[in-house]
Amino acid sequence: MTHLGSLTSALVDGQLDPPDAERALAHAASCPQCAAELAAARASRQVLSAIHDVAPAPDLTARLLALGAGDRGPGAPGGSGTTSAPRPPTASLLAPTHPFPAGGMRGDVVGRRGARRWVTSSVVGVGAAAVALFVLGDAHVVVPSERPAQAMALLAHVEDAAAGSTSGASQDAGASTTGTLDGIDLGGGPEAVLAWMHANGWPCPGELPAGATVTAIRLTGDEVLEVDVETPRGQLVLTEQRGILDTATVAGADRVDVGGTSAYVLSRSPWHLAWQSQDTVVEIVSDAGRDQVQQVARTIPAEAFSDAPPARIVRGWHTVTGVISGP
Amino acid sequence: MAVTTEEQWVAPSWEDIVREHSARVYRLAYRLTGNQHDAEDLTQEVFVRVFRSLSSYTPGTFEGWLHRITTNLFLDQVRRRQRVRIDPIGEDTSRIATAEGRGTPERGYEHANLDHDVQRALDALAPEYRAAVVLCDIEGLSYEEIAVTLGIKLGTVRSRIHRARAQLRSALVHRAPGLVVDQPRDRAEVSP
Repeated sequence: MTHLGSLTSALVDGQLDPPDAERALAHAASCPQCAAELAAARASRQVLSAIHDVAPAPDLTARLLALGAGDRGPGAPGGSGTTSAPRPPTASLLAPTHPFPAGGMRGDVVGRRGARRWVTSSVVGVGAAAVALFVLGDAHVVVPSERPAQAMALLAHVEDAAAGSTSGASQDAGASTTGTLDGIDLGGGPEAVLAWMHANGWPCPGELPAGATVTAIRLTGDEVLEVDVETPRGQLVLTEQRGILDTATVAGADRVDVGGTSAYVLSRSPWHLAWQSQDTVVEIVSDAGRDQVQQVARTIPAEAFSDAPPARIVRGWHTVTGVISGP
Repeated sequence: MAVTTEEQWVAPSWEDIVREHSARVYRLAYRLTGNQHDAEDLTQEVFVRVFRSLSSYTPGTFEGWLHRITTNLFLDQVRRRQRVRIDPIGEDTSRIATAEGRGTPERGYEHANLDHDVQRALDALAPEYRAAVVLCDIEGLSYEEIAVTLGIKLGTVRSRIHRARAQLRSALVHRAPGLVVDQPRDRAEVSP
């Protein structure tokens, strides 16, 4: 038998079947390394389970009770007994819950808020509008993360989300991390998704690898499109966001050839590529292996970001329509 | 399970729900977020969700549901914060919290400072690992329950808990003198 590895914790937690536990214990008896790990895991577990309990402060309980005041049946406290004034719900309670955008993968999109303000204040006359569009079309700088850990977290999230939806785990929690975009029928297959991407101005792959299915597609508030693809060899996440790739931060990365121009290789395990495709930064993260990644990447042309006035104005127009039609 | 034999089930009042579950939610929230303020905000947010969704409440599933909402909201928040690159848990805030707690030892809800070292070690874990190990060791959930709560596979639960403990033991070596800090294998175990 090989070393116990993560079985150690399962053994300590009593989560192994009796025969497996027996085998694991037998191994630990003759393997000093696993015996030490076992002892350490037990000690670690004991420290945590012996941790002191924490109780909610009385005013928190009062605030929680006040949530139900007036709206519920006879059991509602009706505000009685709340000596301290209930703290108003935190801002995040009232804000719409955005689908989880998968960590720092996307990097920062700079200047978004400023853009919104420009929209409300300066769309006045035609001339002013053109200027405004020019300003709005100023590039968002996209800084992709170079840390493989975050790419892995993104893949893990896809996997988790898939598992969660099959067991119904994340659906009713209100904190669901998956959201499917309106107007797309995932049942329509990859072609329907690609057609939608094309119709909405997102650079889209010519085709997906054979046997691949689109498991989710998300559009977050920052105009970041995320498409989760499941290929027979593994997961692939295609992320696209409007903006310009911050080449300074990825300057040290290796390059591979994609559609005639080079993409930055930010990680190889899992694969994480990033490149500029006109006004969009495209990223692919995948554990599906080199061939599958290349196959998808090759069909999305890499083209330099254009900063000429017409392109900027078009981009600004995209921003305006995005804001107007957005949530 | 016994629902069929019971006569019609009566929905609990809001007060019953708060009294029965707020301590558990808060405890989980505290261990996840690592401080009282964030734990209170998270707890409150959880109960807002509960309140909105009471119509879909069925008996017997409540604890699991609460665990799920709490951890999901927490992980969502963490990910959103990572995205805007704000680090809310700075050195200074933890020191202030400690000082405050020492000054008022009679306040039971601040007794967590007794385990400040453990909490710091938890805080140092990746949020996903922290959630798994807290649900296991502090909330006492089985691996199956954790898998459902976090929406991940059983094998993932196992490896997250294992790696979390491996990190914890080096941070908590002073707590258990018998611990051997020796983890060369953990590096090699990236692909189980």
